[in-house]
Amino acid sequence: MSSVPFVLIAVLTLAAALAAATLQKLMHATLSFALTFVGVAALFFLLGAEFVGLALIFVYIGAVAVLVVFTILLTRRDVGKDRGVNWGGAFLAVAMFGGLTWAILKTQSVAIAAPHIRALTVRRIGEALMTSYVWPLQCVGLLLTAALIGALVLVMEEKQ
Amino acid sequence: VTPTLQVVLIVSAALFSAGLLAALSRRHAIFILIGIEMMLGAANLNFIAFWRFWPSIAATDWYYDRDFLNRYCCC
Repeated sequence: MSSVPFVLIAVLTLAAALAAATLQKLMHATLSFALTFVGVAALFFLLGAEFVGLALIFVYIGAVAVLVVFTILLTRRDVGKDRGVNWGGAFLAVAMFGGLTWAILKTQSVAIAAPHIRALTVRRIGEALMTSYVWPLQCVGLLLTAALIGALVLVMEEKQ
Repeated sequence: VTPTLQVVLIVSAALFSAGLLAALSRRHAIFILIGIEMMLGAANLNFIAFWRFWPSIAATDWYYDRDFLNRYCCC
């Protein structure tokens, strides 16, 4: 893993995240949020997890961010500026970052460089899902089917 | 310098803290939702980082290795 692209992408991601956390206009914050997830997906690509990065782009930038933007545009009435900054929350976030950074820097076993790995292809993910993880896969499929049927039942009851 | 696991974890911690800031200091519900989504993204970044940097997981087809599964995954 090379250094310069990592630093560039990390700085971009963190700047977009701070903008999403502090910008006053809701639309600006939402677009910064989408940019944050573009950066996180780029970090996933850089770390060698292409499939997860693609899923993140499809789900977050393709669905969640667009959904939030449409929600803002369709319910424009009371979407104004956010009032002030809650300094207690800011202090708690800074304290959380300081504590996490202290713990990470203190732990010696995470100061390791990336080993050389085989490329993670979708074929390998599929093999793992169909052999060792076939029961979790089926359970997730059952859960999704139950959610789909539940959504259909809710919609049908509303029509009566 | 090449990025170590520490650097990726610190980036992830910063992303988490930004999400926490957005979730705690805003009043509008969509802002709070955005903050929670950023915290979840930081957690995903942690998962991917530990997968990538842990030597014996990413390098092999460990899910075929019964000994490895018995030792580390208790399944």
